[in-house]
Amino acid sequence: MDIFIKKNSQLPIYEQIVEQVKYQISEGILEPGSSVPSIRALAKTLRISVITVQRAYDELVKEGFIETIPGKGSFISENCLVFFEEEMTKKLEYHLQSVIKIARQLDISIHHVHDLLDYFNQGGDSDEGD
Amino acid sequence: MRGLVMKDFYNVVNNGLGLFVMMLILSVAIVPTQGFLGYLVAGTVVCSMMSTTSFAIDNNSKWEQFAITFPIDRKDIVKGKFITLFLFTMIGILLSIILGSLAALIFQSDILQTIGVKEIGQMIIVGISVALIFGTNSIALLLKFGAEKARMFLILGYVIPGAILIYVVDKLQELGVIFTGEKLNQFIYLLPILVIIWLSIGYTLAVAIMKKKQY
Amino acid sequence: MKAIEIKNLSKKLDAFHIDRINFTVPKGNIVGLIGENGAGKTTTIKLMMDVIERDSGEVRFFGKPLNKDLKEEISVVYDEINFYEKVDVVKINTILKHIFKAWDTTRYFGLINRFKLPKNKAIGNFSKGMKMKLNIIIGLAHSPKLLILDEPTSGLDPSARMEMLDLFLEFIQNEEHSILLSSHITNDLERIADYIVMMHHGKIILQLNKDELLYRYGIIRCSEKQFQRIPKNVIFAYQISNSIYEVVINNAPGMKEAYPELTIDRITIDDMMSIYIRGEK
Repeated sequence: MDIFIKKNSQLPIYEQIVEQVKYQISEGILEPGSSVPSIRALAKTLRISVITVQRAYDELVKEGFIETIPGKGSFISENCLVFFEEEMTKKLEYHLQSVIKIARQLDISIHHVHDLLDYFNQGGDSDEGD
Repeated sequence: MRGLVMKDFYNVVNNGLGLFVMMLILSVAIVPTQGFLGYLVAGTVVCSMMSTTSFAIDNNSKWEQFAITFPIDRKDIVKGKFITLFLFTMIGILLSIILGSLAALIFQSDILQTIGVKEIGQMIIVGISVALIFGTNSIALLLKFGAEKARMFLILGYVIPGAILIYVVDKLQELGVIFTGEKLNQFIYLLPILVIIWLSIGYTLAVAIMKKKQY
Repeated sequence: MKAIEIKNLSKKLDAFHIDRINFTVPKGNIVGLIGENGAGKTTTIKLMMDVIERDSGEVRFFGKPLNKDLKEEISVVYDEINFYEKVDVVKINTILKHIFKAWDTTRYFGLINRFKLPKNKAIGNFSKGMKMKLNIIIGLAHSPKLLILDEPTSGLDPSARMEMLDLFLEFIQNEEHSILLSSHITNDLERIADYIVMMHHGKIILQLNKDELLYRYGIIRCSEKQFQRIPKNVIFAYQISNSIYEVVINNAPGMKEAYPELTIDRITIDDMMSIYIRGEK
């Protein structure tokens, strides 16, 4: 598992670890069932404190991305992709809610928002080409 | 504790060449004037003083603050110092016999024939006793005042008892007490008992001082 | 289980006063003891190990007061080597294998080779970095459970410091192992310490989980007018220079939400210490 810590990032180190693990899961770099380094080993590799990695792992376990089997170590959970999708859905919902909130504040009709969504979906966003 | 003694031994032996040169100079200076027997005592005492050198080295390297964190008691540190003293006293006797004999052969080729084994044995007892008594005094003084401050006390620790001894002997002789061979013999055989008493008192005192020491 | 537990440790000395110190080193962790030179860090370590007699208070290692057997499991590494400058690495091994029951000659020379220290050279000719490496190797060679290090990285160049940090993290791979590390260089501790204990004038001013410290505390740079609006109970310390207020606050996330117009920066342990020491509390 390759994780790179940005020292001057606004994001706390444990969040950087969480984000990178999730990213690697979504990209298929980390596969369900594959083992991840122990907390202490990762702390050593990254030259950071044990509690920082502990906190990141705690969060990943809590959200279901990592499973810890006593005596065997930690693994990427079999359902990690489900959890990832769930989280992405939540993220999407959250952003959509913000969109509606902003639209209401600016008195933009929901129909206009729909139109905007259609427009971006049909290639208004040039990154989505091909 | 063996480690503590080895440490002192290594530390002091690093200055071994200096000691050897000093013993050599002493042999040239003392043997022709005071004789082989005088050198036996002087050489032993000088060599035993090396155990006090170990205190100066410890002080410089702040050894004690480190040693106290080892799985040993404070009294082991004191014990180690006494064993070091004993060790260097023994080395002193051996070195004095060897260097003294050589010097005697060179400067007074007939001397070894004229002194008996008994006299040599007696002087060895005297040498060891004086070395251990003075050494005990210095260990207690060094522990009490530290290697820096103790320098002055140390000189006093050797000079004062020596001066008193010479003065008392002088006075006694003036008063008509003549140290005949017989009386001297009796005194020499009493010396080891005196040394044992002196060592016990000195050791107890040194341990008490060490227990209170802060580094 | 706690590797070290210190309760109300006090000592009056000529120069200063160690004043009712309390802190713990949880097992399996690295605790950084931070403070300026003269804050009382070395004295605290010496008090813990009975090198200096304490006036009052209690120190426990693995739940027990210090004794001879416990000392087999503890290593104290001072900021300078305590051997005579004319001895060498080999002689140190011979001396210490007769002192520690668990002294491991193979491990000792393994580490000596790894750090490329000369075996037969008088240690007086070692560089500062080599001496410190040797000092830490000595501390590790009898397989202790607890390492107590006094300023182990001061005077080392950055690459040597990194090597030392690696050694500490390697030691802590065993969950039974713990480290108490005193330093005035907060950079290293900011990386590897799990808990931070801050000391000033013989008193503990703060002890906290390192991440809590770095992410819960923050620094606000603002005008006097803005300063007046900051609730007093969130202020840890502040200082004024050129009419700019630098305020250390103890609730950065909360303050960000409540006062979005204030700029709240991430804090370093260094900032925190220096503002506390030189500023107002």
